[in-house]
Amino acid sequence: MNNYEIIYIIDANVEEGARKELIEKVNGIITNNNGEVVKVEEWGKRRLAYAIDYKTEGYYVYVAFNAEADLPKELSRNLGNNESVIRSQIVKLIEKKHSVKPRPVRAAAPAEEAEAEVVEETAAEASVETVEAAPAEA
Amino acid sequence: MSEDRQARHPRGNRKPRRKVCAFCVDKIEYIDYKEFRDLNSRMRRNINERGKILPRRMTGTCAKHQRQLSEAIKRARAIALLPYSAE
Ligand SMILES: [Zn+2]
Repeated sequence: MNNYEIIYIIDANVEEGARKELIEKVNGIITNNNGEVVKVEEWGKRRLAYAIDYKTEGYYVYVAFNAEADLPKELSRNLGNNESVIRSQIVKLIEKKHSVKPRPVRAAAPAEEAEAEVVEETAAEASVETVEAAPAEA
Repeated sequence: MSEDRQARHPRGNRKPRRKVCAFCVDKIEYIDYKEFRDLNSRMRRNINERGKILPRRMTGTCAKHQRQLSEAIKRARAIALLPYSAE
């Protein structure tokens, strides 16, 4: 299972009833394929940043979901065939393995004890990452 | 340092370079393209009035965040939250 999010734009001329049906249908495609709808946000009618098929407005819907890897393709194909959907985009959410960490700051101050100097020398041979850990052993 | 810089540009009509990356300052780990849906989003400071991505040298953004930012802008464009280019 992967985490995804989709934004799709429904034609602003589609009436509320049909729109609700469409949103349910999209959610149904996800759940019927062993997926899980995590969150649905209706952003509502918005002005498009550029005209799509001569349309200047659209009804934005955002859905966060979990699904198997083959679902996004199927879902975007399905929405692509739907005339009420102006555009859609699915994004895979990737969990970051490493977070933003500050750059290791090299100690500029000279070592006070002879022992500390030895530690520094051995650390210099090792990779940069281990330099940070070295003072803890001293 | 800053005095040298000023001396080299005596007219002083250039915007002073922001030295730190705004995303690093805010400890942003993921630049979310969805934030462009807010017309007043701070993210929009990174594009000009024509919708073009501003270069790092103008915004002070670090290389890592600039890569993320350009990806986010491209996603926002694809779903019409941002223009490809204003006419
Ligand atoms: Zn940064």
